[in-house]
Amino acid sequence: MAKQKFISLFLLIFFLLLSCDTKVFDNPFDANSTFWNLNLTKQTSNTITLTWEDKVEGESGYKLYRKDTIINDMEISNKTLSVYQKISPNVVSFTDTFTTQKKLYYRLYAYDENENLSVRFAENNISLTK
Amino acid sequence: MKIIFFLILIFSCFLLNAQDIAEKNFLPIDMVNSVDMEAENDSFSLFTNTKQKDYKKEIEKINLWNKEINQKITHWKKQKWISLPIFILFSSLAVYYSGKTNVAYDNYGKQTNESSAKDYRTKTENYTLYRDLSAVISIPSLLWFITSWNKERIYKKELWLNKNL
Repeated sequence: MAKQKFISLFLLIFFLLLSCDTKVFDNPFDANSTFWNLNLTKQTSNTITLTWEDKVEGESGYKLYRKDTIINDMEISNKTLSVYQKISPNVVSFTDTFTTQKKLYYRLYAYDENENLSVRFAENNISLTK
Repeated sequence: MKIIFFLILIFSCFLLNAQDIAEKNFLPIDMVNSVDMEAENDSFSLFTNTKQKDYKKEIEKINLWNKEINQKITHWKKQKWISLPIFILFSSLAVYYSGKTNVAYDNYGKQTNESSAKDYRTKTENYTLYRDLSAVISIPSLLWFITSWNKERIYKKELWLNKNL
């Protein structure tokens, strides 16, 4: 009877755990995915480190945009704002240097082999005023 | 999904309880006619100090009791063999769809264009739903199987005790 109870309990827990496992949809190329975080940390008086999560396996790389005012979607789609830095695939950090003491806005997109940008982007800003 | 899952669990517990109540009111279908066979039983010697009429009544009572227990054993055995294939079928489906979910989710993470990412997202969501539904059906059937198995064991033990009294 003890063996019977043990098997039953084991099977119950197994199927409970199985049905409670949920998947997080966080691929930046999916418009319905969750938001993508870009973390900015001021390292020295003139360097910032940008970190993000590598959400996709087959990306061709990342495109980083930088501006001292808010970045609009139109500027990206019309290509009026040029790419600040192209970053290799699977890289999850970038160190930027600055000379200005203003506020800086960053946007990070992943791109595929056809240079198509991801639908979701990681965005953040940092105030560099003393 | 989790709410549905817990509701079904509560419902299955209610079913188990309802079956217990129904069983308490279990009635024998027909009476036993012959008691001569039991007269040859060793247990008959226990009643040698009472009258012949009382012997017959006692034996009739025991026969009736045994018949009732046999009916219960048949009932729970049937329940056991119904619930077991249901559990095996749906638990296998749950494991199968769990594997399909993981594969679709891995592919989703590899997509670098919107349409294919959406396709794999939809596939993952569908397989997750099938997996959860299969698990939700398999759990009450497992509970039902355990209950049937246990009830059958209890009544078999009771019958054995009656026969060896």
